[in-house]
Amino acid sequence: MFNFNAFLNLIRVLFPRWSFFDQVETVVIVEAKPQGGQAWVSLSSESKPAVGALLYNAETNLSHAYENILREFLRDLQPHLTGEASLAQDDLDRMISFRQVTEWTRQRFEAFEVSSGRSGFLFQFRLKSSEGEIFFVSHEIHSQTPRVSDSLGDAR
Amino acid sequence: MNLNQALLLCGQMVSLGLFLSGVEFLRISSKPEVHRVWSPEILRLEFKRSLPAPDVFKRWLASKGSLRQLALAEMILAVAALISPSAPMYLALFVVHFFICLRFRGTFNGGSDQMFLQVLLSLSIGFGFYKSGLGKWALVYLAVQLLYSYFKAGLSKLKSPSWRSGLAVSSFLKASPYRLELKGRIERNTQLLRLGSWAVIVAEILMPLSAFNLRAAFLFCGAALLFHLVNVGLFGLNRFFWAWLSAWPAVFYITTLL
Repeated sequence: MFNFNAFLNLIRVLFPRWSFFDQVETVVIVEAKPQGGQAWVSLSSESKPAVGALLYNAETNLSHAYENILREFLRDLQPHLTGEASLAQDDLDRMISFRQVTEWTRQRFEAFEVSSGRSGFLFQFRLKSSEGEIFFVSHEIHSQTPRVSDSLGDAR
Repeated sequence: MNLNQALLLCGQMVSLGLFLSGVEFLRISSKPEVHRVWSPEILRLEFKRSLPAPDVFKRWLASKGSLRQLALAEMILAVAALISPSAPMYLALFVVHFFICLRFRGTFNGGSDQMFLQVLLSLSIGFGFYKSGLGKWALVYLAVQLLYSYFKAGLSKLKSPSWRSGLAVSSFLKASPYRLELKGRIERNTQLLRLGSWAVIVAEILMPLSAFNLRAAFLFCGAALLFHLVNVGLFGLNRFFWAWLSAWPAVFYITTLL
């Protein structure tokens, strides 16, 4: 069903607001742990600045785009974080940003699985601030499931 | 700088910036993980609710191949615009870059996409209506957008206690995708943070003065270049550098009008 507000959001790039620094954004850290695991592993990574980044910086720009998806997910989650609305499976399924964040964490976790020699199991991810405040903890997600519609999560 | 020179210089800078952007998108389009996060399934869902366009267009835009095709189109058009600057060229670049933004559900890198599109819109009008006098107003519009972008950012920082104390700089450094030894040293130096923060606030607030005096325009343009270069070094924001740089000739042009 067509949604006019979603349309305006899609074409927002045509209406510059130059509001980069209206708010000092919280640094969002993504962590994950396998089913039954105790320790949360950070999925965030830092890279070294490349020589010639002024001309070509695809990897870093892509990581900024992923960061924007995380922030969009937190914005979508905001009414649930403030208690204005409850969070059910349907709510999460409707959030495109949640699907994207889940897919991003899944592929990062896949890389972790390869490095630790495991494959094809359940994992959870969570989003927290650099100060330790936890925003969101997902329910268990299969590390190799291509579809995310059966995933669940809780706003904390 | 006259209108013709300003239009040509803006055009050359934005063409270069968009060629580099096209090269990056071409590389990004070859990454399988990109097509999982912005998968055809996710994009079809997005376009179904938000894009009033023919289904055939939506299916194409959501497809894996569209990003590569758009990246190639951006590179080819950027070279063509560099060789033969004209309104249709910049209009075509505007459409292609806008489609790339739609392909990333609205925008890829936020502000730089917005500025690229503002420059391309102004150049399309500037070249298209050069003789009617509208060309002049297209560059005035672009200069106002550019100077307002700095002023608004400066005003927001001035209102924020964490920017005035310099703590916000530390927060932004923590968000940097780079692992830099320098980051830790800067974060610990509260005096440097406060000084740097106030230097940026003052420069951004005063940036609109560039419109009234050529010397001021050179001074602030130099400060802006330095600011954007530091952002490239600390945060990797190279697209902002090219997008904002390509709009600066409009400011040099309006100093001749005021």
